[in-house]
Amino acid sequence: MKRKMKLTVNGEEHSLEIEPHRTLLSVLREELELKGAKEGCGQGYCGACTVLLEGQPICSCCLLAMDARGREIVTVEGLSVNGELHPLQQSFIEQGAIQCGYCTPGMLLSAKALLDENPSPSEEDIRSAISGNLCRCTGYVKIVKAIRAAAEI
Amino acid sequence: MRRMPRFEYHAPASAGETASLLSEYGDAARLIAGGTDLLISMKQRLSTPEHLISLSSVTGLDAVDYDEKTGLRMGAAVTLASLTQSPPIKDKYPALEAAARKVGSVQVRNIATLGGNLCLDTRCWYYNQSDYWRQSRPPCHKTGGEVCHVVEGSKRCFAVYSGDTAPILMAMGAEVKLMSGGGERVISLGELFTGDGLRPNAVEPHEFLSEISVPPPAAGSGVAYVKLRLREEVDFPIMGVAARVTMSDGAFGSAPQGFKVVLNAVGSAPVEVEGAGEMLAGKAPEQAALEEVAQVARASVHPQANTAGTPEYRRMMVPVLVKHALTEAAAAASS
Ligand SMILES: Cc1cc2nc3c(=O)[nH]c(=O)nc-3n(C[C@H](O)[C@H](O)[C@H](O)COP(=O)(O)OP(=O)(O)OC[C@H]3O[C@@H](n4cnc5c(N)ncnc54)[C@H](O)[C@@H]3O)c2cc1C
Ligand code: SF4
Ligand code: FES
Ligand code: FES
Repeated sequence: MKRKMKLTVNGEEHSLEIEPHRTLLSVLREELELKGAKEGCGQGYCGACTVLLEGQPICSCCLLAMDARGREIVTVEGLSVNGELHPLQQSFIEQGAIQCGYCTPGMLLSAKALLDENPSPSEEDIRSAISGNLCRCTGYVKIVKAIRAAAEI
Repeated sequence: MRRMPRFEYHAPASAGETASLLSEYGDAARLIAGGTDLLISMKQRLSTPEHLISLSSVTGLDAVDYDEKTGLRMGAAVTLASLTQSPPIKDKYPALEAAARKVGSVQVRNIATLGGNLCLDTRCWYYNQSDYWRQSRPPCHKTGGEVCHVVEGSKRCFAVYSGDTAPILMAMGAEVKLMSGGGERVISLGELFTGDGLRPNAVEPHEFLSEISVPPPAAGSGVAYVKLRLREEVDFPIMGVAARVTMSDGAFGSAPQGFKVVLNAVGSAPVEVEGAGEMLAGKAPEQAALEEVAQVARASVHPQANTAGTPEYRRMMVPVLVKHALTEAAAAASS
């Protein structure tokens, strides 16, 4: 049976009617057409589905959308302001921290949660903040560099 | 996208409502706290409950309180991330903070709960797989069949309990409160674990775990949890050891009750090493005393080939980690 619920995503409140078995990831991608969060493993291991819930990174593939109702969600689509890229996004481009891009939305959001709490992180802090995000392409070095460069802006 | 099976969703607002939903639906219902364990097993069709009772809206179930006389009380639905940020835990129970930090990844800890960690299902390479993968073999005991793919001919299941907060909480003498429509019962955390791979905890279908309490830290005592895993984030334990010791004037205290060593992820329940207190009490905290406990610990477990790390390697690492945990606990007690 479909249930009525409200989700606040990137500052906008959405009223939805969904089946309760839907994960937050499937509602974001399929109901709200926000395709930034990706499904990699679907099991909590890879971080491709990372979004922010009340400012903290979570795996949206392992959370029922119903259990996220009424709470603030930020996806990668919420990072830019008026078409202007977030400093982290700009820095990822400048440092060449993107190859296939599959991990990038999750990386950006884990990095944002870090910088919101700690504006001048050490390399160790950065590595630990993205330790739940797998990248199969870059070898991480440029991602760490890009986050450090964004922190210096 | 991996699809979830369908179910009816309930989000009770109070402990009382939770209990009445549980008694109404019984075996047809499962509790969901963070869902980081349950949702994956539902995607893999290891669990297909008709009703899910979510603890996300139950008021007060995520509270943390500390009192110098009575100790620490944690609501079962507190997230592991908030445990690691809670001032009384950081201040009085730093080893619990450290153990909670060793669970999964940042993203997992932000939704995973303490109650879910204690009630974590047991794990096995032949069990935690998709339904498609599992079709290639006959069902094993844990999926309703009559064989075990790990120990040939076995009548029982050897799936592994690997919750990382249980051993340290057991070492600190934690108790858990189970609530139901009929009232509540308090048991020691050790009694929560049945040792049965098929049904690893003693929570009855009409009950739920509501609170975890830990006595105040005793003077001179120190605790530590050492975890061995493939990578320093995300991965479940290959094995773990929690230790509690009591120090007095640079030596181990004289009361055997001041000591506890608990082994994790080597069987279907955390295993307490018997006689550890007698072996350590009154001794100098040197390798010789630790070695005796380490060898008894090694002899007391029989890991199987169903998680990361070969049984031989895991068994070999038992004494190494036991000594490591005891040394860390002794250092914590002296500081
Ligand atoms: C990528 C990944 C890595 C992980 N790594 C680790 C790790 O390193 N160490 C580790 O310990 N765990 C790990 N886990 C497992 C899991 O995330 C944690 O154990 C977590 O604490 C489970 O809590 P939860 O609230 O998400 O549980 P849920 O999935 O909500 O519940 C787990 C089980 O407990 C039952 N339950 C939940 N709450 C209660 C209650 N109050 N009363 C009675 N029954 C209850 C549920 O019915 C279910 O059977 C990992 C998971 C993932 C996805
Ligand atoms: S230990 Fe044996 S019975 Fe238990 S889950 Fe693994 S294969 Fe199945
Ligand atoms: S898709 Fe969610 S963690 Fe991999
Ligand atoms: S850029 Fe391809 S996965 Fe990270």
